[in-house]
Amino acid sequence: MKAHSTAAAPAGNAGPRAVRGARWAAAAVVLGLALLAALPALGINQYYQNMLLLTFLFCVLGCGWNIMAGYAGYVSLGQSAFLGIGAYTAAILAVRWHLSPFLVAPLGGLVAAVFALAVGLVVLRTRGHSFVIITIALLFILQIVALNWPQLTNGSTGITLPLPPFKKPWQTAPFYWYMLALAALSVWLSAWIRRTKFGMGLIAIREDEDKAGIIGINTTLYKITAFMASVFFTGIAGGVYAYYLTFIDPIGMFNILLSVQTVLVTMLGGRGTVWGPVLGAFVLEPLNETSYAYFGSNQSHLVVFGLAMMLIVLFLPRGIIPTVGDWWAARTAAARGADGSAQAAAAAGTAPGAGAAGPRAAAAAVGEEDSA
Amino acid sequence: MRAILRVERLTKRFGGVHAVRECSFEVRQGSITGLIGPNGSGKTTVFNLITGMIPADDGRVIFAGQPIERLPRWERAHRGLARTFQITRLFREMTVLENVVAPLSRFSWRALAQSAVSGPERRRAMELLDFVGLSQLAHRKAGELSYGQQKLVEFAQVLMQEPKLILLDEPAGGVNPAMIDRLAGLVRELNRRGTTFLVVEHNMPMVMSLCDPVIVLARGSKIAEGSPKEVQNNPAVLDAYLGD
Ligand SMILES: Nc1ncnc2c1ncn2[C@@H]1O[C@H](COP(=O)(O)OP(=O)(O)O)[C@@H](O)[C@H]1O
Ligand SMILES: [Mg+2]
Repeated sequence: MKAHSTAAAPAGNAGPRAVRGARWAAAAVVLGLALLAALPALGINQYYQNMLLLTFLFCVLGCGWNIMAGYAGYVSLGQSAFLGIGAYTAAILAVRWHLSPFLVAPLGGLVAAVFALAVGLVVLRTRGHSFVIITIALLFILQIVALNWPQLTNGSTGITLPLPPFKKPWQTAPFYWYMLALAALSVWLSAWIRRTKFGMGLIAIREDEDKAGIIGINTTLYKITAFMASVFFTGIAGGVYAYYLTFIDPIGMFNILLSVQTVLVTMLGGRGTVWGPVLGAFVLEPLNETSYAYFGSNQSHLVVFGLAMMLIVLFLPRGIIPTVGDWWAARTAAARGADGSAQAAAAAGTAPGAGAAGPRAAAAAVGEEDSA
Repeated sequence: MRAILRVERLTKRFGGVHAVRECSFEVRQGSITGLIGPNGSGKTTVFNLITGMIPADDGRVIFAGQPIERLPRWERAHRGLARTFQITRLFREMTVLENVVAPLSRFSWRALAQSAVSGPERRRAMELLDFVGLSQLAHRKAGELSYGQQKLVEFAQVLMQEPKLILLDEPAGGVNPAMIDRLAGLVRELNRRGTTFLVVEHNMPMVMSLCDPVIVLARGSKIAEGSPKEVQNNPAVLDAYLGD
């Protein structure tokens, strides 16, 4: 028996098939990454480089948010606050120390994690619903602080970062690659957490937090650690994003719309699944750009968001990956029903969330070793 | 005889309801102690207070010689205290096997980074599932199991913690007679190997054959204690049950 065969559970004998599937999936991931990395060299134009870069940014935001909201069940609307923290950290330090923002961006990740620790110590010690409120509050408080502390943040005037030294036609590529690397690391971290004892503890917390405590899981520590992990790469991405924009201000950087988009991206792809945020980002961000190009003005852009949100909640409440996973499980089970295991078919067809097999198999795909 | 658990003047109010009232009793090490009483007499609440599900208003809980009433629940679990729930609580979206390996009997950062279901832990969980007779369901979603099977999974989950004291809240409730015998057999077997039990149960034949001593609660306080025979013949106990 293989560790991840537990994932493909109800249908049973998934042994060697699952291993082969995981190898194929791992190969596909490596190939996909290589292809994406090669694109700037293959000469795709700036418009598409920009679109993909923002897609990677949403992968980072979504994968991070998903650790807290998808695994542990703690929904936040403050993911973009940590992007802003990272952006300001990198901008301030780069200007003061005369260093490349690329070099100081990782410090933004650390500062974001420290903020998560502080917020977590206040609101994550108990169970409950205050988390979502506090994360929104954090976003607005940081915006107000950034506006009113000109010595540090240059207030509403904003900060202009050092001009990037990259020459045409390579002016976007370094940002593109940096963001791609962060997206890949975010997926890796999320997948890694998902299959560790830590990740299982987070899911226990999502399913029944009181019970998790009773069986010896230190829920407070798990939640705070998860929160810190969920903002680290977002903080780094903030620095890269700031450098890419070369100018940041409090309104643009502490923007709740970015948080809402993060939620949307993850819900669309599949909350609680490793690849959900990635899929969601690759669907929504291009859509986003297109609608922006079509409608231009900010207001109608918002209408598109609102509609997307409503459609997802109405028709795909669990997101694409779990829904397709269920459908697939029901289909294969029905096919097997012919040779006697009708029971498995019924189980896979009716059990809520049986499709979790899909995302978990995907998690296994990212190089899970055989622990036979 | 050494007490593994000592409850002293434990008190809990819910608004106007005095659920547990200056409740004191001891559980002897190595015993299978029964805890009975009419519905609403505070048995489940006592379990909740002992395990830290809810904070006590007043009173002390001494476990293995140490006060634990201020410790968080996971810390109490790490000291060797485990429980089942009157209405079984499993992680329904996890598989049966994942449920059984989920408990932690101590904390370490290294353990957190390990594969969720692996190595000796996985072997031990499979042994426990064998012990309760459910190893063939190891890879099913816990939520898909029958109620009785879920009770057995929760039992295996509790055993994974290698606890010193196990609190069982109505283990026979909603379980068919064959399964009840099986459960009683498992409890005896574990008790022989050194685990202490405190059992809340309404099934009197089960209590009378399994437990000694038996503690009786009424309106949140202990009103009697003794061998099953003594308790059965105690007028105060009859009053408590009939007067309800
Ligand atoms: N969480 C709660 N909130 C309010 N009242 C409660 C709560 N838990 C228990 N009670 C009340 O406390 C009393 C004791 O309940 P309980 O401990 O469940 O009794 P038992 O397990 O002996 O049947 C009952 O009157 C019950 O209604
Ligand atoms: Mg009860």
